[in-house]
Amino acid sequence: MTILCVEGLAKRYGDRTIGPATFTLTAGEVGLVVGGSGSGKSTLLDLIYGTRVASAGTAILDTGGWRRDLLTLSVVELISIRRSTIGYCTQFLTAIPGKSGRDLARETAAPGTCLTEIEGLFEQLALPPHIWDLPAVTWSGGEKQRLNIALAALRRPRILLLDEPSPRSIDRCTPSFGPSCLTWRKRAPRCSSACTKPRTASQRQGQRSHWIQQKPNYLLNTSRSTLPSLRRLRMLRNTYFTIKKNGLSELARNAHAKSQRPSFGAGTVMLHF
Amino acid sequence: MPDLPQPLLTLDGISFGGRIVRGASLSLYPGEVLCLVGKSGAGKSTLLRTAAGCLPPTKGRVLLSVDDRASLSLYDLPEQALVPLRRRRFGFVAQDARETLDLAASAAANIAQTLFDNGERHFGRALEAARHWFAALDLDEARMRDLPGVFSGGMQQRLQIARALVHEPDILFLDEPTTGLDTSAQARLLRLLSELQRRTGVAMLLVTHDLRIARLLAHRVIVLHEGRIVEEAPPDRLVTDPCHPASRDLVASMI
Repeated sequence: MTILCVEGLAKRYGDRTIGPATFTLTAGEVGLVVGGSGSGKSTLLDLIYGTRVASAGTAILDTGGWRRDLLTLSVVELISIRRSTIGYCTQFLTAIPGKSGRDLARETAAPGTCLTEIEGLFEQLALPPHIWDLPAVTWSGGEKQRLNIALAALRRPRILLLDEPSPRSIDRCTPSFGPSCLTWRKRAPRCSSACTKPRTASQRQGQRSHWIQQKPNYLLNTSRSTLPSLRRLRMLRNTYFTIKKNGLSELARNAHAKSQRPSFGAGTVMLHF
Repeated sequence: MPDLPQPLLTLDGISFGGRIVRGASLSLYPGEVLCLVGKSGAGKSTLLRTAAGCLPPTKGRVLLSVDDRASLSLYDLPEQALVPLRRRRFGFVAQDARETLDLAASAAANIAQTLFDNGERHFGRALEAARHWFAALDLDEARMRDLPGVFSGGMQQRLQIARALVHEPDILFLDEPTTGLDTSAQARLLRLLSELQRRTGVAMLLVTHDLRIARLLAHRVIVLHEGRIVEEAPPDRLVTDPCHPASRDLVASMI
C-alpha cells in the first residue's frame, strides 16, 4: 500500500531550483535521503511537511482512508492532518522556555498515551531520569535532539519525517536508538497507575519486543557520517534516495542495497549502495 | 478527510476607518491559538477589538457560533444582548493591565467581579474561584486583598488572565500580553498560557509583534500589513519560508 506518493516536487529559490523529486513510499518502508550539504535534503522534507511552500508538484498522502494532496490543503486542514498523521523531527528543538521534557512529551503525545510509555521511551533513548523534570532548553544538544525524536514519535504518526536525527545522539545511544524510535510500539493498554519501580533489564527486554510490532514509515534525512551506524542497526534494508549536490533530480532507488558497497563519484556527493 | 469543526468566530470582510483595517476575513476554530502579527500600525489591535465585540467595524460582520448550526452577527445585536454575550463567552486581556482591572478593588474582587457579572450570587463560591485562580496562576495567596495597582507588571498581567478566564469563556483575546515584561516573566507567562490553553481548551486570538512568541504558542499565524491580511501560515512555515515581503521583513528582523 502506498503511503506517500510524491511527483515532480520542486522548490524554486530565485533562479535556483531544487527538484523535481518523484518517489513513493509504501507501508512499512524506510526511505533515506542522502546528499551533500545544501543539496536540498531538508527542503524535500520541509516541502512534504508544509514548512516550505512547493513551487510545483504533488505529494499525496494516505491519511488513513483519505488520500490528500498535501500541497493543496488549506492551512487549517494542513494543521489537522499534521497533528494526526505526520510526525516531524527538526534539527533543532523548539520549546517554550522553562517547560520540562516530561511535560513537553505529555503534551505532544497522542491521546491515550500513558506516562509509563513516555518514561519507557525516554529510557530507551538513554535520557537520564534526573533531567526529565528540568527545563528542556537547558538540556545538552544531544539530549535535546533525542527529546525531539521522542516528541515526533509520541504523536503516533503514520509517517515520520526525521531531519538529521543528529549523529551525536545516535553515536551515544546506538544500541537503544534502533528499537526505541525507529520501530513502533503497539498501542499499550491505558495504565491507570504509573510504574515507579525501576525496571529490571529483563523486564525492559520484554517491553522492547513490543516496540517492533507496528512500524510507521520513515523518511530519514541524514548525513554521510551517520550511515555506518544506521547500517549497523540494519535499518537500511528498504529504500534509498540519493540526491546529487545540484538538486533532487537524481533520486535513485535501490531495493537490495545492503548487498552492495558504497562508491563515491567524483565531484558530486552521491551514494550508491 | 474528516470534517473540520465549525469555526467559533468568523470575521467577514471587516473594514475600519479608511485604511486602518481593509477587508479582513478570518476564522477562529475551537481550541485553536491564532496569532495576529504585523508591524505596529498594521491594524492588529483594531481587528482584535472588533473581533472581541468592543469596536463596531465600518463595514463587515463578526459571526459568533452559538450552537452547531446557528451563528449570531455580533454588531447586528442590540446593546442589551451584545454585552451579556460578550461577558459570558469572551475574555479580554489588554496590553495595559489598568485598562481591564479595577484599580479600586482588591485583586480577589477583580477576579470575582467577572463571576458576579455572569450571574454568580454566592460570595463564598466566588472567593473560592478567586483562590483557585490565584494558585493556578502562581500568584501569592497572601496578596489576594491587595490592590492590583501595587502588583508588579507580570503579576498584573497574570491577574488579568485570571479575571478573563475565571468564567470559562470560549474565546480569550490577548493584546500583546508580554509587553513590558522581562524575559523570565515572559517565559513564565508563555508557559502558563500554553498550559491553560491545553487544560481548558479555550480558543485564543493573540496579537503580538514578536514572532518568537507566535512560533512557540500559535497553531496558525496571520500576518497583517497596512490593514490587510497578507499571509496565513503555520508558524514554522512563516519562519522558514515567508511568502509576502511584509512577512519576510518581520522574519528578517527576528532577534
